[in-house]
Amino acid sequence: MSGTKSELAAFATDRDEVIVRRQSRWKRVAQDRSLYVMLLPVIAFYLLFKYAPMGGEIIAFKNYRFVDGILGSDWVGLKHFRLLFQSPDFWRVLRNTLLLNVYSLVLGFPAPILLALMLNEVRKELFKRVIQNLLYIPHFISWAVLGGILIAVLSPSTGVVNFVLERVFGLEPIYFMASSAWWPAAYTVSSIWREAGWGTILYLAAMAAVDPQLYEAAKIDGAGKLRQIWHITLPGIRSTIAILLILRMGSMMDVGLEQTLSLQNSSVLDVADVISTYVYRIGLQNMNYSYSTALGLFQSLIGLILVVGVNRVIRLIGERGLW
Amino acid sequence: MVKHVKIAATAMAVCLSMSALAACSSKSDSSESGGSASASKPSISVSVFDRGTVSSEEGTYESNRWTKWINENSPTKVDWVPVPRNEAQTKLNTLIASGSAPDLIWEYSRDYIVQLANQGAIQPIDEYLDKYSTSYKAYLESHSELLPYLKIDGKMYAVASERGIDSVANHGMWIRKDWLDKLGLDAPATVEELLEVARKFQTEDPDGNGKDDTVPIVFNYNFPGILQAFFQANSTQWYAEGEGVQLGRLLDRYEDYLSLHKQLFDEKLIDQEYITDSNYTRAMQNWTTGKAGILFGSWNMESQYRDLVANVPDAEMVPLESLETKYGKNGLYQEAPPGIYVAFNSDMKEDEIEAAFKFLDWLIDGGWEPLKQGEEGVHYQDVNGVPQTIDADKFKTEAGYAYEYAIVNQSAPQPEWFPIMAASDEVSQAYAKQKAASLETAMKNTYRRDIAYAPGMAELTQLMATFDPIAQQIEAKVVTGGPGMTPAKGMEELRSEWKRLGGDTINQQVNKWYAENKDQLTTK
Repeated sequence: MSGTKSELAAFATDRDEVIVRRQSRWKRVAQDRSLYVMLLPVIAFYLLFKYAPMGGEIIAFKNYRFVDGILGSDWVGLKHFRLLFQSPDFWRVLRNTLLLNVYSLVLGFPAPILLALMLNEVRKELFKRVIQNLLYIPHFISWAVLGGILIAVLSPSTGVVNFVLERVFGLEPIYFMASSAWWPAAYTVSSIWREAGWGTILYLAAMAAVDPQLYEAAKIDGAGKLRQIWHITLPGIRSTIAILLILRMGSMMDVGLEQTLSLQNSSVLDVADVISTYVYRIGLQNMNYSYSTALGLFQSLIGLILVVGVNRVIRLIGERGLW
Repeated sequence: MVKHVKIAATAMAVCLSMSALAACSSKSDSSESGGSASASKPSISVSVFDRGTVSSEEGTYESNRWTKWINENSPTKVDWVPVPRNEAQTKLNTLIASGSAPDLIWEYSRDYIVQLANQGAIQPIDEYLDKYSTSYKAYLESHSELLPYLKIDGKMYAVASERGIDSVANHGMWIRKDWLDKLGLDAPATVEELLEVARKFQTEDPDGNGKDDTVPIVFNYNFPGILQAFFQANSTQWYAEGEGVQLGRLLDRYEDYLSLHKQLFDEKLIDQEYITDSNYTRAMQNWTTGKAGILFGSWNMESQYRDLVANVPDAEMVPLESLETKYGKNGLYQEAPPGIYVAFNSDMKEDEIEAAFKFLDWLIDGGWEPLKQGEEGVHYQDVNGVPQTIDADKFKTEAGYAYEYAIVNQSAPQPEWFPIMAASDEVSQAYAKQKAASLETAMKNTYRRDIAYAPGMAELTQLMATFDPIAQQIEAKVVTGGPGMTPAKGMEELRSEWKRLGGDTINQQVNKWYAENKDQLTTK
């Protein structure tokens, strides 16, 4: 929009010309009016359900009480933010949240790309379909169930992992889920287990769009499989990776409540207590709506900064970003 | 029906998003009326937990045979507003925030009612009680132990009736009598004897399968609470010590609890992986397959009993009484006397409050009886004063959901009722006998509760929410950490963490509150 406006300003030497252009634009709108009418409900939806509720964010700066309502509650300025940043345990919770996200970004983000690359090279169609479906299954199982499976698999007395460690490597059994050192690893692996297969879908679609002639040309030039992947497939899905990375950055401050609650236990709370469990405890269980809104606003702000920052970096290295 | 819900949901969503711009306070009067009562009757709306147990032939929570019966017989017409049981507080909060909450709002949790009072969503009712209530007022006079719970900062914010003893009793312990007999042991009466018995269960192969595979003690989420009750040091409760009050978790007695818990773990008398058995599935599996000897749980554990007897027909699961320590004998956790707390929406006008009290008076006078028991001759028959269910399935579909509407009542089932009320098959009768014994055992010793409730100040709840996970972790390290982490060291850490989080100031505030409210906090 702003681009067209400045273009207009640059080129419009004559006032009349501008008016003519405006008229023609209205004419075009009039021509497509049925399309615009169909757009209206969507705009209304976004205004009503996405933008209007944002007005409620002001309770972060108020002392919200039910009876007084959102507008009627007293203003308290930055009190809730001050409480938040002064709370000794907010930083612990923030650190845990960021650490878990960094682990799953570093290990979890490349996982579906690797999987998709491997799947893309599978030539037996039946085999490929079977593997794909097996990889998708965990995505449809709830965390409560997956958590139970993970705890059983990692159990020091009856779990298969410790059985292998003991029999094959002669190691002492490790209580993975109750160790503050191992728990983040188990958490990250569980995220990959559940989501990596599902994440391949977008990459596989992007790979399907790569021009087959490129591969043929590369083959003629004597490129092997790895060379083809490096020089053709990966560059072909670069923009998809970039977009997904930017979107992923937006959720760097989130850790799934359900996943954390089903995996955490009392002996790992120093690494497993995250923002979502903290909000659940302090905000919802104690009706501290203003406080948890302040926290949510802070979370969104950091998320926004990360998205904008990464988008800028991605554009600097010559990819198309989100905008 | 689905359409209805959708429309309601949309209306709600619109209402909520509008409230972002301007507090939406229009009161919706669109709830379905549940009967054809005369128009002259005053009408009120009351919340009700939707547990999804009203069958479609019966109607809905808003309209069914019992809501109609209420509207025909009670002096007040009642519109019921269902809230889903598992998210009751969230739904009630949404209704309140959008100004469409029912007149009477009820919950089991006193903390929730305190929060509503702090939020200004409910109003004090002292003067109206005197003015408009007769039967409930008389009931409250003869049940004055309820009063401290109903008051918030000296003002009465809710009404409640007393729980029957079957819902006062809560935690409970069970032991395999056949194992005791086989090894020639007596049921333990002290904590030392418990350790003795558990060690014998571990080493002397009580299940006789020739394998060293028994877990002496299994438990559910009540386990820490039961151990803490032995030493009168519940982690979240405040105890009158000397002049003031102290948090259970910081008492010297709490160290005794930690020592016992640690000892049970170190001697392998409890599951070595209990920390990750967060749903207690391993524990219950051990119990029901006859691999465990002592069960720490609730006084009423019918499904565990049935599963155990089905797997091990010779098993005898009997209740075990609370144990003695050097501090004497304390009962296991029991609920405070009030049942549900019924609070009055602050939007209610005086005439509506009058109508509400008329309804409550009618309920407590006897309106509650059919709601709890069904219709005589149809759902139950009177056997020497005990309401015996005639047809369990018929009762379940036609009357099983109605107890939700008896928001105040005088229901008080007795232990000796259970065998009469139970089905006539052998297992049901055998369990009914144990259930009666278990209830008597659970009520034999009173549970120590020095003050009626903890203060509701925001700083305290905030601190507790922060302190709790830290304390839990320290305790887990004490129990599972081997000789390096002693209970004494754990106590030191608990106390220093409490201090670090600003606990000293909170202690002062709580003690000031206690000194000011002492007379209305005493529970006896």
